[in-house]
Amino acid sequence: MNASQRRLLQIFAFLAAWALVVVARLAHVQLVHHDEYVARAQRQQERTLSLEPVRGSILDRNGRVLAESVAAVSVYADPQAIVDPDATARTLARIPSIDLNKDEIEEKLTANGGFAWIARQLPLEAGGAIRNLHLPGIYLLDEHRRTYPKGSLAANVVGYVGVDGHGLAGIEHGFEGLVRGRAGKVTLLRDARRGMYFVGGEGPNKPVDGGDVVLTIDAVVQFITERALANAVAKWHGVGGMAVVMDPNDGSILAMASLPSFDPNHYRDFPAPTWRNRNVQEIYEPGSTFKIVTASAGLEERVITPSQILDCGNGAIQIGNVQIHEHGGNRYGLMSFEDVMLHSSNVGAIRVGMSLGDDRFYRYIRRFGFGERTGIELPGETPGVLRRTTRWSQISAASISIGQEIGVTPLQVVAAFSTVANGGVRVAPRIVDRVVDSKGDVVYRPQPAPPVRVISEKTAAVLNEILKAVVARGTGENAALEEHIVAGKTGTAQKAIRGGYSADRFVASFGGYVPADRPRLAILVVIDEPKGAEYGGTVAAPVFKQIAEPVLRYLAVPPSIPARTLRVQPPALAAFSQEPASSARTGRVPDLRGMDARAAVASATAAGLRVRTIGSGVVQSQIPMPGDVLLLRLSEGSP
Amino acid sequence: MSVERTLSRLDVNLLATALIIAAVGCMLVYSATHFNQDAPLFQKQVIWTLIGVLLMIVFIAVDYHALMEISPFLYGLGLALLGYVLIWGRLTRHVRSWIHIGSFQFQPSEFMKIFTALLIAKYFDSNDRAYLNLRNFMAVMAILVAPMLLIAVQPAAGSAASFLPLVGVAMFFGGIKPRYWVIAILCGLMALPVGWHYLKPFQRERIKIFLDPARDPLGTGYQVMQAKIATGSGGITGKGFLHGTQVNLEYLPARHTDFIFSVLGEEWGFVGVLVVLTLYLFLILESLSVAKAARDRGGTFLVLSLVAFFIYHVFINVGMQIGLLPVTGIPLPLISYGGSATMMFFMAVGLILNVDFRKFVNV
Repeated sequence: MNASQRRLLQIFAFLAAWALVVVARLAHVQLVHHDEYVARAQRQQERTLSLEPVRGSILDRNGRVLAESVAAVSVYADPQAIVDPDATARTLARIPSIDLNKDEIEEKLTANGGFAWIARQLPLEAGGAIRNLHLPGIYLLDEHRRTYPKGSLAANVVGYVGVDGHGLAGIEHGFEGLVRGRAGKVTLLRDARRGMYFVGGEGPNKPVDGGDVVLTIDAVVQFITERALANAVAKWHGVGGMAVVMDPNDGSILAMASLPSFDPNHYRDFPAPTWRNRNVQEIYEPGSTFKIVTASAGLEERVITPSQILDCGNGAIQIGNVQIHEHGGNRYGLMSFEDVMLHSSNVGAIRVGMSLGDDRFYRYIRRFGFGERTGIELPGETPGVLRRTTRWSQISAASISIGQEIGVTPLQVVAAFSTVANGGVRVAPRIVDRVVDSKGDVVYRPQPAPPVRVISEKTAAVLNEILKAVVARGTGENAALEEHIVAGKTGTAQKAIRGGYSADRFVASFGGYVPADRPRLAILVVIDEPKGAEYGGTVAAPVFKQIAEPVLRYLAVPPSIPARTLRVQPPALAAFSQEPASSARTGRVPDLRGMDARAAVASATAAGLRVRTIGSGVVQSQIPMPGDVLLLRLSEGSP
Repeated sequence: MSVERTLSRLDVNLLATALIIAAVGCMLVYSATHFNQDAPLFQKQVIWTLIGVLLMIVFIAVDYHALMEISPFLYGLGLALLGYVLIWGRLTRHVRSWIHIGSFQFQPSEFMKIFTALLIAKYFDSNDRAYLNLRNFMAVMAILVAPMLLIAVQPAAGSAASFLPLVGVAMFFGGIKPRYWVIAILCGLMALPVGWHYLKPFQRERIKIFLDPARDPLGTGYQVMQAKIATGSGGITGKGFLHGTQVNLEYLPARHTDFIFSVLGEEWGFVGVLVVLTLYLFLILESLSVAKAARDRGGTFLVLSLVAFFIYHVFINVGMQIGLLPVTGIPLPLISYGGSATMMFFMAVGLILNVDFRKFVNV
């Protein structure tokens, strides 16, 4: 090996050693510590922000807006890009919609890290003002702010949204997944000179706006209901109240009021309990309104008939070693079952409940939907408290007969009244009609449970007559309307306290439906702890009237009087007539088809005709024999 | 001699390797600068490359013996230009190293490398003793030290130091007795503190930071840190062409010039880096075989000097980016953006091919 070859070999060795060192070093940096360097690169370059989708609206059944999102601007800072924190903070503090003082802002501006929110969801004008200031290091992000244009209306149903954009109660919470939409993603890239770039927000990172939830709630009915309930709670100095208005035909909830309530625009100014929807989230002992379940079971099982005489024990009944008394110290002797319901005799109801036997009674209670969730599309619904018969005591059946020892929600009770109103068919209550996307396509429609027959049509009809009598001549007289027959039942429950029942704290309620023979509304009113009066008939029944009367008028339900009542006093009806039967004066038989029973009878009697009706509802056909008896054939439904 | 025969005798492997490296360079320059529309550096680099290819053809065509003959004049011209730069050159980033002719500017120091290599080759061509005597050794050192001093006072220590490979070639292949090695090394060591004294503050800082990288993460050490983050975050296969976030967000300093290797590391990953290093290695080994087969001692020394430049630049530049060596303004051959360096390396490739092309006497 000569000198030059040796030198070349040395060069090769040197090159090989160098290559080895470099490759080893590269492997160390690029392979072994790869993750660490990726993290460091991201840390200095990126901040991922989510692009909030526009949250869907919440609408009433007629499209009135209960909750919507409006464009807003959020302000954030990159503290490291702030040139003069003092001056910047002073300038920002002068923006009226920023609720921070100069020092608070300066603290944020001088924070460690590369990002700090200054103010969230400001009105657009404020954003424009800040943009025009051209403050270095201060940036704006377009967002949306949740507003509830009708304030506290239906607040306990609609719920509210927290600052971070998540629904925290009510429909806002329950339908979060559909209302929220899908967030997009932008990556905030920062270059070496601290300039900022937004990357993303396209394709799979594009935000998808949320759907609009259309409720079955009618804002007008809701308003009427809330006003009537609030007036009553104020009048009786109650601690709260609940009211539900339901269409028994299809289970739609038209109004649902819960007091005390709150304004979701400023939910944090209200104590947390006001955010609850007491109609589904809280339970109460229903008291005598529950006697409709006792009566239904008794009538269906033929352990009782309306005219059957019961011994009401002179005001008390002894069960084992417990004595249960009538309310208000009444001392009833022998009375018919109809009168037991009319006067809300506890002893009479207990006798019916006891004679059913625990298991049979329990079965009916369950069939009416107590002890389980109604399945309404509201979050936090409680099934109530209904113990199984194996855990019933000697007096459980007796207590439950009069609505004690059972926890129910107002919604369950109004659903029970709807069942009676529907001729014994239970229709599941529903509050969300549909969810539509931004293109108007229905993306979700709740599938309510199919209707179930709970009691026979005959039982329902008998109970209907009893409940009409309760309002006509019993404890529910204050619920009576001038233009419609009301069926209902009062409830006066002592509040359960530890170890027994309170002597001075009551829950007064009234449940019913109207018009009794062709129900359009089932309404439950509950007043929590009224002062000065305790009876459901005194406290709650007038609220029923105050709700039902304007709502029926708003819904353009024609005044309805059943034929039976018409036969009793036909001439008086002429005075109520919607339209004087002008055609009647010509002496010809008027065309009464399509008119409701009351108007038809009024027209006919005004024309000097005697009327006989078959069925109930709207005039389907008539037999027009002038001077003879006019025969009207009636049927349910539109002509 | 027909064109066909000429091409058949060219070392096509070497030529192709150089062109591939230059193409990779243009691509990386594009990647490093495409987001900045104001300065079309990519187009300029393509033009530099084309000019470089033309120069390369010239340096293949003209017999290297002729170039060695006129090398004293070229060397003198180079010294004159370096002197001109020192007196009338514009101060650019602490340094006077540019000659401006209209909008055209170049660094005479780069061309001086070629001229010096030619002169060294000429010197050894006429000196074929196994060992240099002291007088000859001092003569060679004088040839090398003159341009180094002129460049060092620009002050561009890195560029001046890039003449060191010629010193190495002269001592290693010129052949000096062991005692001269000892003397040379002792002189070098004694020069170190003196050199430190003459270093500008920013230069001292670079060396301190090399010794302790955490010293100043946002200052000069910032460059190395960002280069490491870029290379490290590239991983095995990299982030893809034009997808280097460190590059696009301008974290990486001098990303189209001295730190372009980190762009390669970030966008093409470990695999891309290995490919490019393999290309360099092939270029170097192929050139060394040219040096071995050269017709005369002048050709051998010319090729060795030029290869030494390649080895030195790749070694220093890559070592700097991965934190093995301190930061110096040394470009990556044929890849970094820059007219003078690109032209110089193409001339070097041309000369290597020239020597290879004329290895047989009967051309």
